[in-house]
Amino acid sequence: MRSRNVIAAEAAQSWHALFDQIAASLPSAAVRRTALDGFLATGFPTKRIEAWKYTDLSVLAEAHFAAPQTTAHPALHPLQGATPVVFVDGVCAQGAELTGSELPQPLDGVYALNTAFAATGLKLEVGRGVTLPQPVHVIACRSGARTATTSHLCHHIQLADNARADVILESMGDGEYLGTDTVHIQLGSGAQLRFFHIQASAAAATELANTQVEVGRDAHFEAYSVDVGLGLARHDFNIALCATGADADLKALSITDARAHTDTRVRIQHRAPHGRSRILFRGIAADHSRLVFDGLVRVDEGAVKTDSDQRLATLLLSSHAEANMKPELEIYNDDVRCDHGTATGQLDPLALFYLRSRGVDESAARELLTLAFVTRVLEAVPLPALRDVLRERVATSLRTALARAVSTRQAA
Amino acid sequence: MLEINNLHACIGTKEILKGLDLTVNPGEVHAIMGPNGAGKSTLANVLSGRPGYIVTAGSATFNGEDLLALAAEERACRGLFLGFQYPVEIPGVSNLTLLKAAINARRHHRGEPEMSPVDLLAWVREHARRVEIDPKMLSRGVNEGFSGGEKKRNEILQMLVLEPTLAILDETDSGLDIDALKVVAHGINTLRSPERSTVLVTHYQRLLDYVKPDFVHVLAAGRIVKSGGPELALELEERGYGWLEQAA
Amino acid sequence: MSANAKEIQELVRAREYDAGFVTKIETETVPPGLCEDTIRFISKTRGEPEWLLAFRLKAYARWLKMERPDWAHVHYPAVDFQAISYYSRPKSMKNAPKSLDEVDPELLETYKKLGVPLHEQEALAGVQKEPTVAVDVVFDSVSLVTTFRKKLADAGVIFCSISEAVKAHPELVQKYLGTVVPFADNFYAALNSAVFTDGSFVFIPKGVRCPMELSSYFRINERNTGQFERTLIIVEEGGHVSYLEGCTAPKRDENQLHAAVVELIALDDAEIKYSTVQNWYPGNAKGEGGIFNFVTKRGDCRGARSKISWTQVETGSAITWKYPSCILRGDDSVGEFYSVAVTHHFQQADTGTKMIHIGKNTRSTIVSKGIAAGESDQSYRGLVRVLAGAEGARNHTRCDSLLIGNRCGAHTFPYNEVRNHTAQVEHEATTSKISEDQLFYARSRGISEEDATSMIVNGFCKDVFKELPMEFAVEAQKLLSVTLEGAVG
Repeated sequence: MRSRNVIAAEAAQSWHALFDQIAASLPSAAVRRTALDGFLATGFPTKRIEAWKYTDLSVLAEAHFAAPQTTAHPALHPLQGATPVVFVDGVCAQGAELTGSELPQPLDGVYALNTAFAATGLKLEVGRGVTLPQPVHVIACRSGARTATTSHLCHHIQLADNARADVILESMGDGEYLGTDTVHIQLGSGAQLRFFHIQASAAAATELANTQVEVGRDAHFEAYSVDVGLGLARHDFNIALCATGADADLKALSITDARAHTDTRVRIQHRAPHGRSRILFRGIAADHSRLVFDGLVRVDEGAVKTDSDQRLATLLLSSHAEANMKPELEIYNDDVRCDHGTATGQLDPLALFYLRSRGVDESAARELLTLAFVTRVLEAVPLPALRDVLRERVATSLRTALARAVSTRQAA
Repeated sequence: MLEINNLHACIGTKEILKGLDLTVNPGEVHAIMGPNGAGKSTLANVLSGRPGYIVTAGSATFNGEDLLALAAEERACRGLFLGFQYPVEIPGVSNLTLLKAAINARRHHRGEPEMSPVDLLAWVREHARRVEIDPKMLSRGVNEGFSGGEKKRNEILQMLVLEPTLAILDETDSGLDIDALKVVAHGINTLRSPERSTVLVTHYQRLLDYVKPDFVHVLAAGRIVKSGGPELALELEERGYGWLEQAA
Repeated sequence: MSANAKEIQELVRAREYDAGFVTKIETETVPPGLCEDTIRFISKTRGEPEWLLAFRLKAYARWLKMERPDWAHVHYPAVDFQAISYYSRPKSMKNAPKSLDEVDPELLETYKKLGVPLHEQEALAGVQKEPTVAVDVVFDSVSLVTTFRKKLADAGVIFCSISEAVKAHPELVQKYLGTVVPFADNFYAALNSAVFTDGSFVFIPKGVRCPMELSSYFRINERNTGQFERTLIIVEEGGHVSYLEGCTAPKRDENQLHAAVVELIALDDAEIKYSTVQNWYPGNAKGEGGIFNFVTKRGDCRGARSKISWTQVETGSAITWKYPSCILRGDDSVGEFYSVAVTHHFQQADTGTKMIHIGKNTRSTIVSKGIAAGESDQSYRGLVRVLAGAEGARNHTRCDSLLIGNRCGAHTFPYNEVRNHTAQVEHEATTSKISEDQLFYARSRGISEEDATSMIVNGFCKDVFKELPMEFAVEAQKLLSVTLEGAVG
């Protein structure tokens, strides 16, 4: 069905102007322009499109975005012991960058914006058998304090056979902005990538991320996605297990508060035999926030002995919060074991009572149990320094959310 | 009754049985003992026709018939019974349904009419009492939610009900407390007769205190390395398997 | 590659569909095509009041503007709605027969062959002491007969065809028709609202427990016709009814359309149990022919503590598109959905349910068991929505799929939407083939592979079969074996 949300003429004009200003002089300008035209024809996705059922971007259709005026570099804190790569408003401020010459295969829909505009990003190639000695920490920082801005990054991570690496991608910002990040990951035979994505958007921001992964023979993709942002964030993971024995393990954690909206959409495609995939999601929604998790495991005809499991659980902390879970299976092969389970609800009243009966006061008990709820994702984070940072950030987010929940409960 | 000659068998590409010989005559009870990984369960599974085991050489005949050429159910209909080390749960299929189908398959094979439901129920209930299984459990799913001990007693119940001529019991004694062990042993002894034989596959001597074997064999590295009378089991209890493994 | 899967595949044989015969009978069938005149004709032939014609025309006008839904996981050639005949009845039914003696013997023979008891004496003389069942039989576009009417009327129960209800109880029909499934609800519901013919009407007054099971038997016979039945069941405060539905059609090479609408209304403390054994002609082993079954079934738990329970066994149809749903409006109301769907050869099914929790402390249970064999494709699609006001709502969903053979597909598309933080929604799903361990265990006890598989599959479906009324449960098990004949035994 054709989207009814074509970009209004005025807004389209402003996108064209922006293109002339930022992207027209970049390499592959023709490809970029085609991508932009494609985007303008279909517009921002609406709820009528199944993939965007719970995240409506049509409100952006009328908006005018400007190119960011990069000013001062805010205080950033790269992880100790990591190699920092910093992008401020779509421009590389520190570390290695991707030259604009290499445009990835064009993306469609709203991610066509990334194809049209992204001028830079991380380019990481790890050679055969090489283990990267320390993690790479990419920080993407955006600002839209004075006017609404838009900026785009396109990252490449390529691990040759038996290579190993850890990459952390952290996005943050302030003000009103629309940012897109695409990550193209290719893992050769036996390669192992641990990929960490931390999203901490500003309240008025829209952050769209698209991670495309091709996992080779006996290669291992391990992803940790942590969303603690306040704005609207959408993360698409498209993971293809391309060869025998490929393995994907994704653990995601979303904490939404205030008016935050987080939508994680995972597609794992088993294309080859003996693949294994795991999805674990923990979500906590407070106040007026919304959580979406849509995970699809698809098993192709030849992908025998596939083993997949998907576990989704969410906690709602307020009567205005909302959780939408969609764990899907699409299976074209009988020699598989595919399970999934979801649970949405509140803290176990019995556990709460148990703690209180042992003398823990209610709010402490709630905090304890809520933290326990996210432990399975947090404690699985393999880099100790990062785990400590995440623990702290998650605890802070939860404390704020819980405090708000308490005050609402008392008001009610 | 059972005649095994130079049996070689693999799981995948890994050879587990490496030239095993064994003869079991009617009325005999044999105990096959040996360290973990020696091939004891493989032997039981190969004899009962479990898919996934490949016989690469040798032969096994059952009452003169080539056992290895038969499908699992054909072996069962001819009087072979395997007591599983890990009995399988089949949700939604009641124990009675399974037993009814099994009894009638056997009767069918022998050209006999099906057992009437009334007789069948009485027959099963009588044996259930003997192995101390609550008759209510008969209408529950096969092994569904049963404790370890209940599962093993259920195996013995099936054996008693089906009256095999050769029962191979794979580690039926493992994980049982002493009372359950006695119940299981009593079940096995009930079936002892000049026409029936039993092969007990076990790691411990414990069961043999209650079911006295005629022969004891030690299986190590895929072959029978030593055979003897009941006294061999006691010797193994004292000395372990190390001295025999070295010999193998 | 397991030896078992291969053996199972090799066992695939042509399946016998024993309801596939054609009744040779003279009919009056309107020429194919759909326009306002067709609708006026249907309405006039049935002697309908003006308000119903207006309802139909409104629906038709809306339908013209709607697009065919394409979100389901099924693929089929576009239906040519102008090639279908929208009304067909046996000639002998022109003047409604007053008793069975006046019904064409050819028709009576048809039901005898199908095993549907039309004579009350026959039904009563049944050997087993089962509760007797009253039947409404619908042949193409008309209802032939409804049995046990006297006995039911004595209890205050109205059970008749919907066309009779329009004449005899217009106030009830007008009050409830289209209130659960509005005419603009979806493409096929709009089409049905425009052209529906017969179907059953049930009214259980306040406090009445229906003294017997009610059932409808639908049969499509005429070539090139569609069947558009409409069923309306209303149970007043404290009433109770158990309703069964069966259906078959002859084997034909072309596809035929069945687009029904079923509306259930349960007031305070009322309970409706609705069971379906769907055995429409599924097409042949090459995927030719078969019924397109596009059905909208919805129950409205309008009253507090009301309960609506759907049980379906879906073995027929080339394509199934069906989501029997519950709107849990009344506080403490309960919705249930138990489903076994079996597809073989080239059948496609996209089926499931919707549970909409609106009232406080509403509870719903979903148990779905899918079995796909041959080259068939099957999807479970389910929505559980908890609205903000549904304090304390609970849902539990269990959704399992079995695949038999490596050329079929089984898919699961659940949607869980929760807007109340006191709600508890749980969903569990598994997809696998029949466990080799289970199969070996049964075989090692002497049971043949086919019997063992059939036994395990029946065990897999047990949680649903136990919800069916006794006589249906037996039929369902038989049907399951027939459908999977060759695939599993």
